[in-house]
Amino acid sequence: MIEVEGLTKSFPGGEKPAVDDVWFKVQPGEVFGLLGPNGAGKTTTLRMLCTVLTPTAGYATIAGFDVATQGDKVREHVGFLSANTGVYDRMTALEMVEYYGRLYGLSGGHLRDRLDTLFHTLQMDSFRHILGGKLSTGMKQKVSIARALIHDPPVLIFDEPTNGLDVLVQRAVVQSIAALRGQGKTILYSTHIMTEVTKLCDRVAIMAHGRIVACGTLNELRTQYGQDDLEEIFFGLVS
Amino acid sequence: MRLPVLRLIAFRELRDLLRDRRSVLLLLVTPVVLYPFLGLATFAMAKLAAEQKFLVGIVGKDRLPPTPLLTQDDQFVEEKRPADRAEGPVGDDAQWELPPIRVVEVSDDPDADLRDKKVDVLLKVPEGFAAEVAAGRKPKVIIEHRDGDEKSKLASRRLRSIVLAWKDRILQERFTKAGLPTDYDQVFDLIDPITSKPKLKQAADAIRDGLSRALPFLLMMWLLAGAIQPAVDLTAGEKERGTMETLLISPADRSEIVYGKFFAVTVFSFGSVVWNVIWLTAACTVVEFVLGYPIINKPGLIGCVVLGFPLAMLFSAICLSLGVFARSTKEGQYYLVPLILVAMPLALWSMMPGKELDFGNALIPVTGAMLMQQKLLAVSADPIPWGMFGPVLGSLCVCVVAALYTAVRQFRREDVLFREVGGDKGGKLFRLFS
Repeated sequence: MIEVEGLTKSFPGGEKPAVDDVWFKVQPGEVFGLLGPNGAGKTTTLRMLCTVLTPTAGYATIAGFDVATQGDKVREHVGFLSANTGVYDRMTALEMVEYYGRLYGLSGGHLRDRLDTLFHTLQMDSFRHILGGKLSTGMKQKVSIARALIHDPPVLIFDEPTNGLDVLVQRAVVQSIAALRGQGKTILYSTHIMTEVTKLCDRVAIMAHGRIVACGTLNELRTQYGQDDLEEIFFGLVS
Repeated sequence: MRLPVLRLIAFRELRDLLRDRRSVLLLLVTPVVLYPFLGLATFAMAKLAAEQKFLVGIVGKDRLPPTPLLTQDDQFVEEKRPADRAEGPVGDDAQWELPPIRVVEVSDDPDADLRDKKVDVLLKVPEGFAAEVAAGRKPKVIIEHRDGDEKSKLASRRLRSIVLAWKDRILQERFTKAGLPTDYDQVFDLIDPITSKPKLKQAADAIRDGLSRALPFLLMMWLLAGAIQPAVDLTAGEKERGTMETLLISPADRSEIVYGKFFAVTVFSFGSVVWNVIWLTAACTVVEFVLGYPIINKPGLIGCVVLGFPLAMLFSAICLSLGVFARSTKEGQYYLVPLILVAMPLALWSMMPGKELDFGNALIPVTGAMLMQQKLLAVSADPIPWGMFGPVLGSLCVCVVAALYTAVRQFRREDVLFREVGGDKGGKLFRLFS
């Protein structure tokens, strides 16, 4: 489960907080969408939840662990994937996922089983021994997904994971995430693509200028703003 | 800090570096090609020089005195000169094979012969030379060569030493005629350990002394080159490729990440030095075989390389703490150039003539270690100042710990790791470089 209460992040020299008093909760088996334009504070929020940035104020827990004081425990229980996370050019797909498996404390038969399962599920067997530098963008993203899932974390955070991918790979990524919801994972999904939100998300928070300006299920938002089209609601709130 | 995590990161980074063709080509393949090439080039040059035939034209050959003979047929009558007057490699060493030198006839225009390369050097004997010499006067003999022509210069140098030897023989003849001993002009015997050695030994010792000064500097440059590229790749390069954020989100602690990278960079930097030294030693061994004398103090070299390890640690830690500040590989290289500018004066300070290893110098990072390396390499009666190892290593250890502490701090700073999301900090100067 993810609990965020009044999370705030200010950077030295910044005029306004990048993230300002953000509140939300995500339950297991739920996909929670974080929707917002570029610069809304989505990535900063997710980075705080992954412990790479320290909150200036507020409180957040991942799987019951405080992101500010129990960083190592949080990192053990979270899988993170973004469009910016790269793969090592000079490691094969298998080596990279195995490396992260070992970093997460897996070894021996358990690690091998996880690798086999993931490579089979994500249809990565054909390129398991190919160096990262020679993989296509779609293959790289699959490696990143496998890397985020290798330790079977209860919480998954996706930061615009389909950015820059072609339609086929986008579809495969969205389907993989939908399958993960079925496994009872807690999923936080940041995007600005409306179709992904409607396909995947159970609830949505719309962010603008570092704040959450609307939050609820898709139907709740449609009712609240008297609009069927989510895109219109989004433009109305962020503009 | 968990050792298995540190080891896992370190070995991954090391494997990654060894798979980087650019780094491997630059640091590992270059010495394999460079030193044998230099060795072969030296051999080829020596062989070419040995095969050179020098042609000497004598203007006024008939003006030479009948005794002692300068030439016989078309050959010079060469004779060993006293070592204390030696001014060139005149047959005082059985192993030194001098290139042949031959006298050829000159035309009516000897200067044109020299210009047209019919002769390499001209010896001009003035009118009445024999009579002047017999009368005890000092006639002028002139040697002329082509300016800017290396072969002509070598021939001139060779001819000069032959003429000087012949001049000695004339002098000895004069003393004999006067009933004086042939070494009458030698008021005392000068024993100079340098010039009393065979020429080849002198050359070998000169190379050895030069190497004992230059090698620590070369080692330092190799260490730096071996640390900069990998450190930039493992910090700024990872940020650029997007793998740094992935690593930061893993359960590995920042200190484990830094120490893992530090280990990899240090091993790579030190490994590149060991690799270079192996090939350099091989090249030196070949030169030693040719000269017949040692040119490198091998036990000292081993000590020198071992002392390079703390230097590798220092450079690696500094490179990591600077490299992580950069957002791209290119930017990282800009940040690390000043490190060379700081290290160079410290290195050159140790190479200044008369600079000795004392307590004060021992505490200066880089300088102290390099002075100690020079001591280890030098062949002298002075004992190695073992007592200075403590201050040298102590000073380096303090610097390594400080640099590592800084590197870990840098890896914990959000404004360093995610510079693109930070505010406008640091004013105009910062913006100029970011």
